[in-house]
Formats: sequence, C-alpha cells, structure tokens
Amino acid sequence: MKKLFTNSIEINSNLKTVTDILVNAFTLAKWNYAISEVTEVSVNEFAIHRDEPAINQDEIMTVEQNDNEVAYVSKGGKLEYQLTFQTFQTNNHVLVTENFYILNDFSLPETLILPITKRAFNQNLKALKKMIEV
Amino acid sequence: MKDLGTVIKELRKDKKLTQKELAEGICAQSMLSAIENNVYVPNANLLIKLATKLEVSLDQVSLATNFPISSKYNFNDKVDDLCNNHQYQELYDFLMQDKVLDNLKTSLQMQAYYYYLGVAQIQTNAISEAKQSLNLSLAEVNPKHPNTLGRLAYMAIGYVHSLENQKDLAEEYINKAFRNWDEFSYEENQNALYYLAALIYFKLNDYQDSTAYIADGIGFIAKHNSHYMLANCYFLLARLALVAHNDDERLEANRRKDLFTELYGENIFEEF
Repeated sequence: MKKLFTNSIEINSNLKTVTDILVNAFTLAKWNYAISEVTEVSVNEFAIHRDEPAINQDEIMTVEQNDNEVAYVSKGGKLEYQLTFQTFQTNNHVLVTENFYILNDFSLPETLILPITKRAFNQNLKALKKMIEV
Repeated sequence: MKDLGTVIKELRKDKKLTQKELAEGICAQSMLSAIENNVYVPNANLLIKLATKLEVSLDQVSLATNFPISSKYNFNDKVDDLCNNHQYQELYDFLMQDKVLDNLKTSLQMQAYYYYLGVAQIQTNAISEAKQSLNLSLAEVNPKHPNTLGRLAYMAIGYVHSLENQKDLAEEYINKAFRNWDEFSYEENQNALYYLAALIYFKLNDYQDSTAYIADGIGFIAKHNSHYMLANCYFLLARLALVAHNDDERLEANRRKDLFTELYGENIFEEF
C-alpha cells in the first residue's frame, strides 16, 4: 500500500456532524459530484456508479470506522485505492485530513496521475465543506 | 506494450537526435537514459519539455494509415504527405483543385475527401466551413454503425464544438463516435478516437473525463499491441497533470487566504 497524497481542510462544524456524513456512503453523491448512484450491496459495502467517463466507472466501496478515522476501500475499478479521513476538533472547526493510498498496479505513471487525482479529491473535500457549512 | 521510456526513445530516434541532443537544456543525459530505460519516470514538467523538443503537438494528429480519396496513387500520396507534415493550408489548396474534385468516384472516396477538407479547415481556423465539410463526409454513413472514418468525423465535429466551448454538443459527438463500439473490428486509426476524446475534454477543462479517456486509450492501444498515439496520450496526460497541479496550488492558496481572513477578521489586500 503506497501513499500517493494528502489533502486537508477545516470545516466550521463539530466532530459528530462531520463523522456522521463521512460514514454514510449514501451522502457521497452530494459532495463527490461525479458519483451518480450508490447502492448498498452488503453491510458497509456499497456499489458506486458514475454516468460520466471516469477511471473507475464502477467500484465497490467498503466503509470502515475506527476512533477518529473513517476509511473507504475501493475495489473492482481500474484504480484500487484506500482513502482514510482523520478528523480532529479544534475550537469551532473540524480538521479533516485525507490520505490516498494506491492498492494495485495502475497502468498510468504515478508521477502523472498524482496531481490529477489529488486535485479531484481536493475539490471533493471543498464540496464536503460547502455542504456541511450551508 | 510499449512503455513511456520506449516511446520517448523511438520518437528521439525518429527525429534522428542523440540522447545528448535531446537532453540539452532540459535534463542531464544520464537522466534521459534512465527515462528511456524505464528506471526513472519523468514528472509532468520534464515530459512536456521533452515533448516540445520532439515536436509532439497536442492538436495535430496524423492517422496511422490515411484513407484514399482517389484511385490515383499520386493524389493519395499527396494527401498522405501533406497530412503527415501538418501542411493544412497546402492540403486545403490541393483538395480544392478541379482535378481532385473531378476524380471523386466512390462514396468512400467522397467520405475521405470531405473528412480531409474538414480537417484542413479546422487547422486553418475555418471552423463553420469545417463543420459543413465533416457533415458532408458523414452523408452516407450509417450513424448506428459508422465506419472508422465516420467515427473520426464525428470526433472532429466534437472537437470543433469544444473549440466553441459547447460542452453538451461536444459530448454528444463523442458519444456518436463511440456508438456500438464493442461490435466494431479493430483498425489502428481507432486509437486516435480515445486521444481525441481526451483532448476534447482537456479543451473543456474537464480533467477527470480527459484522464479517463487517456487511461482507456492506453489500455486499448496495449490490448491491440500497437503504439500509434501512445506518445500523444502520455504527453496529453503530462499537460493534464501540470494544469491540475497548478489548479490545486491555486485552491490551496485560496484556502490559506480564507483561513487568514477568518483568523484576523479582515481582508487581505488583493492589490498593492
């Protein structure tokens, strides 16, 4: 498991609100705009579908929660990955730090895929903040 | 499948450059050697500099094999030559000659003729004329089962719409180009369809969709044991990586600015 990048964001909210949203896979489409469909296939396991062209048009996502960390493990797409979210309460903010790990041998060079993937996930974090702070 | 290092090495040899000549002003020769031997993967900046020196263009695509516009070999050779050397004004002038027009006999020759005319018009900025020519090339194409040239014409119209920033229309034509795709038998020119779809999304600033088509394209090219358009795919990916990086930096800078404003309750001076 190789770490590709880290993104972080401060959200004006509390730890419970942020964590509840992160562990609820059905809210994913609200802050990851590429996702068009989330279906539960078994306990804590979800089928994710994107209508638009995507590296992972379909993937199976497992959601796990441990202490102050939520982890998504994606399998079945071209790019298999783990995305962990660590959350810390600071005054009126919650600091969310996401780490992205690659789990398989992906066909494109990591040096080139890194900035594209990092930007896409950073935009998702921005959308998460916007959704929670509204 | 040929990897990035092999692709760079072959392009360098095609241009008759030594490692020293290509590396000059860009990186150490030892680094280029490591790249070509797949020991080191270059970052986006380095790859773009190499692509520029190797004269790989984003917007000018040569087909693996050109389509005949005539039963006269010299006419087809002329088109081949002008296309491969990206001499589009000369291509336009050649295609507009009466002797060429008078020699169009079959529907496939007409299809190819109007396709090349459309491409020449795109490259010489006659955009609305290009759309008319490309539509003429599609006149006898079955839209449910287009041949490869028909698919390329649909993609070229999509490209024109991306130049006009018309995303919905551009996407519509990408979808037409890939209609009933799985049923189709392989031709090397089809590699270009993935690249062009990625290029259209790149023009529309949709980096994720562009990356998705590049990933599919590289997979498709590998599956058919080809290398045509592989260099273009890698170099477009490098361009995508660079703009994504710059965009991400801007996002981070704005976030830091917002945090500063929130902490100190005042706006940062935007202008000095």
